[in-house]
Amino acid sequence: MLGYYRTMTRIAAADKAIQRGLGAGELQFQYYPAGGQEAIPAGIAPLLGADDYMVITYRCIHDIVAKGTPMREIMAEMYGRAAGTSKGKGGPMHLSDPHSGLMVTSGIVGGGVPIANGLALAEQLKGTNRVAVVSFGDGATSTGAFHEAMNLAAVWKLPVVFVCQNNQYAEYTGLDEYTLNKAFGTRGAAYGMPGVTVDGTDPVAVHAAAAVAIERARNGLGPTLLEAVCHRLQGHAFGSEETHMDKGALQAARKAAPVPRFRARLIEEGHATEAELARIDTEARAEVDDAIEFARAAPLPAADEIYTDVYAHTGLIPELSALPPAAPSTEPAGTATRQLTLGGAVNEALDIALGADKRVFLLGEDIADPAGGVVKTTYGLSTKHGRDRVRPTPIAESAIVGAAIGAALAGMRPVAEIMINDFLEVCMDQVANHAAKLRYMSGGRTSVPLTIRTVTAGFIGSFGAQHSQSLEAWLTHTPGLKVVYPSTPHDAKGLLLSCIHDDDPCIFFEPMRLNFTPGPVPEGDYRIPLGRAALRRAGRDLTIISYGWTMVDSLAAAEKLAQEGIDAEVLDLRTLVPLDRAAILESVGRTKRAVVVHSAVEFGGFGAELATIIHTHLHGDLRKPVARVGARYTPVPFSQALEGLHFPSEARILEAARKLMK
Amino acid sequence: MTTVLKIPKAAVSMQEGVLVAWIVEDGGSVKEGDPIYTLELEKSTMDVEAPATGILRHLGQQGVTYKVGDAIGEILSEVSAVQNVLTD
Repeated sequence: MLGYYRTMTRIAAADKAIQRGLGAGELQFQYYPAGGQEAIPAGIAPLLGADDYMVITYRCIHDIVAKGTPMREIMAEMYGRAAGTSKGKGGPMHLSDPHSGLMVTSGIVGGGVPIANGLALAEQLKGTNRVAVVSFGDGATSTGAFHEAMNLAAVWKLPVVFVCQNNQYAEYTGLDEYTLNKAFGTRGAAYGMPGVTVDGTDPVAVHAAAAVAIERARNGLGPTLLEAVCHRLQGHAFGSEETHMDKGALQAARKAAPVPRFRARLIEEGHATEAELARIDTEARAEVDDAIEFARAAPLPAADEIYTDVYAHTGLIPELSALPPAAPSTEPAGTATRQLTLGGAVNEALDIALGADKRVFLLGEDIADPAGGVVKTTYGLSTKHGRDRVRPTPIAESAIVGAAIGAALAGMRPVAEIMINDFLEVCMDQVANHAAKLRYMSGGRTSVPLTIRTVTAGFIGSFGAQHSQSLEAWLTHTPGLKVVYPSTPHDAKGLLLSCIHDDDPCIFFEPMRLNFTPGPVPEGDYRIPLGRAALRRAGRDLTIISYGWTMVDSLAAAEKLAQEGIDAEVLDLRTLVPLDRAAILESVGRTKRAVVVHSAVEFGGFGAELATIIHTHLHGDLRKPVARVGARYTPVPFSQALEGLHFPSEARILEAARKLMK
Repeated sequence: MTTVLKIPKAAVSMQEGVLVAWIVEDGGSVKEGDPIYTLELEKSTMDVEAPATGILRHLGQQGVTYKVGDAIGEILSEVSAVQNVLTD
């Protein structure tokens, strides 16, 4: 009983101290106080070990303190100091502390829920009895991520407990205005899992209900939805007005505030004397005061910290002049090669990775046999490696990527398939806000070594506007992701094996147009380092720079140009981040003319970045400005008559090249 | 010890606020958590609470608009208040 009180008091002391700092103007950030919710994590935390995971949401100080993050590190992060949990790069909405099992704090409502599944999945695959607890507000129950995650957790019987902290408000909007089913606990039944509702202001009641749910998860019986009902004791954020709140209910909740009420109960029921509780109060205040003193005195992050923790290696950042370290290529010399399609090469890479490394597993829609993937890329793998490691999923992209992120955080090497590139837009929050940023937001304490494979289906006809795009520019614009775009079966295999063994999240494009042309692929495991372009054709007059399926048209155009007496060099970038700037500048430095070609829309496309790099570094040497050939600024049309006009073609590349030679 | 009172950033879009009125007079005693002045934001007002216990000293004027981060007062702990008297 005293343990609960100690935790609740430490939470309240930390929460108050931060608001004192904000009130005095010493701290300046958006802060979401936890008043009214102290009892929930205080009841749950004693049931968890440091190796059990928590994923939490930005109203978080109560969860963080309860899970066991050292107070000094919490306050140092609030003050933006190098000694903070995230070296001052995460801040109050993004603390994480893997030492205590606090893996993610998400600033995106509902965003953390699918990630908890992945942490739980990793432990299920490893065969431990660890559990993941994810806490979120009632507002999160309206998100798609919540729905997708609940469904996946149930169907996979994951050891996860979903804790809905129902504080009566989704930011500034009350329950009555945003849902008809306010009994959130009943929603468990919708997914085939137990749903329990408990008084979230009473740590004893929370503890009892959470004990059942956690035990159930540890015993392999699957997830539980636990709704803890409480009442927010203040507005949404520090300083925000309370006019959106029901005055009567707020007053009643303040009168029955969990911390003083539990304190009175301890004395009334004879669990503690006033003096004992006063000592706990004093200790909590002293701990927080010490942490604030520590934080104030701690140094700010050094300027060069800005670039660390974006990737495992700082030199990969495109705008730094440093080039990626030349990782030794293990491309096999003289090994036997077979003719495989790009899809066949990908299948072989996945088979090798699954065979060599227990941490590797695959998940995605339709990937298991007998379907074996919509274009059969994963055919045979579930039969050989089992459906635990080659997992078919619901049609739920956020759940897929979230699960992959969580598993990667827990040390696995997941390979998620997002069937078609356009579907990445459905789960961009998981990709761009979470996979890409977790290393940085945790100050390098966590990392997300996951691979997402995705097909680009452009220029093979009839897929239309929502199945044909090439969205690499969205991804290269997101620091933290690596973007890999092979154009040959040989490269696809060697690059995919590099992605799977890379320590950062990699997005791997599989151009469907190249799935029909076999090429030579060496046997066995070989790795092509990320960030190394390949020279496909040497030439003197101009450089055509491309990647992915437009390499076909680029090479064909180069042959045509040769007949006209124009000697074109063709450079295949193979990876866009990290980018082989040295190869680009070396080639164009010699030829002094460049055409950049890609299947994505030209305006705002990656070619603009390539053109700018060339112009910036070779301005005085260029004979003509860099030409760009990309898709026209339209959705991809259905009719092949129009699709042919939309995408770059050999004819348009020729036209651009000839203009450069005039 | 002295706690400086700066205009807090009390809303996402807040750049400045009006010190509408001091609730505690200059030189008055305040306890941590007491409301000490009223701050007007764009569409609302808030009573800012004392972040420390001690003697309040006004630096800002009522009715004046201040930027976030401007110092408008300080709270002297009793020890520093005594020291100030001794050195005055």
